[in-house]
Amino acid sequence: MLKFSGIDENRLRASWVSSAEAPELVEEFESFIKVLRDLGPSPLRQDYRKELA
Amino acid sequence: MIETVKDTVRQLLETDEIKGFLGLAEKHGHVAPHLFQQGDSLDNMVLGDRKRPGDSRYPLNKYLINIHRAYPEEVFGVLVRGCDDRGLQTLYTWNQLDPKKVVTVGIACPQELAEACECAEPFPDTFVAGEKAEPVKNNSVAEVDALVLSEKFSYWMDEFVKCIKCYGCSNICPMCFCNDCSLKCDDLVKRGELPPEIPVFHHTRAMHMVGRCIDCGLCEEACPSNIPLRTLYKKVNSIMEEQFDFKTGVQRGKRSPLNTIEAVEGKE
Repeated sequence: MLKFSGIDENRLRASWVSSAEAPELVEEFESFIKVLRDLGPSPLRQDYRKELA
Repeated sequence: MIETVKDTVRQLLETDEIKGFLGLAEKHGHVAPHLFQQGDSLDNMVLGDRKRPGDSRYPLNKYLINIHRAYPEEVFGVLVRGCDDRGLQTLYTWNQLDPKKVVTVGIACPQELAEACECAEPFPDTFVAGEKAEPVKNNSVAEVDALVLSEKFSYWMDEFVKCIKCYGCSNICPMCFCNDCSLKCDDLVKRGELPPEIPVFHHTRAMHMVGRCIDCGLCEEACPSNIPLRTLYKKVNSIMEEQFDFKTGVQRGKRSPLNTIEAVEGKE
């Protein structure tokens, strides 16, 4: 649905990490942050409604 | 077509098989839902075709739920088209209606209406009048899929920004039966601004249509801003079909896969 609505699917990540796996969680976050930085600002950042005013 | 329906209804009422029949009546030039009871004249019964086939469509299932809640022991009849039938099947699986308390009087939609509704199955399982029309394929989803990501985004946002939060879409939807609607919850969708937060509002509705939307098209008809809601929900339905092989309302008795928890023995 994200792709259908024009939002890059890579902006959503669902992963399962056990609370005992702290280093894995950190790794998950860091790689996700990298993906997001490369994607650039989300189109949802600006308030689309104000654009038209 | 109307005469056959009237005869069927007359018989059902006279033999006491149903306490009342929920259909449509034309009064003073307006078509509205009407509960015909024993002894009532069926003269003003119509099928919702004033100037064109189906120009007066109503989500009769919705009113049936209210009637059923008020009189849970009685059996009622209801006029059903293909979409209504899908709706009933789905409402049964969601326990909103009891199939033992509902008698359907089906009519098949004419081709003209099937085309206008882009209906995949413009006839109920059993019907007393009308002829089966050809299923109509829908292109609106493919048309959006063909756009580039950023074009898709602006396409949808340009549509959603017209929303005036009239709740017409959920008010008319036969599958919207929740008393506590997420869209009316201040914590989820902030109140006091128009248009509402987009795309949150419409996507929330789309997510709630998973396993419920029967593709009747009433939402898009009702929307005063002409937002192509149906395209959004058709996409949701196609995902359900692809991923779970689930077609809402068509596979009788099958509950939504999101509504079922199955314990699978011996599987990792």
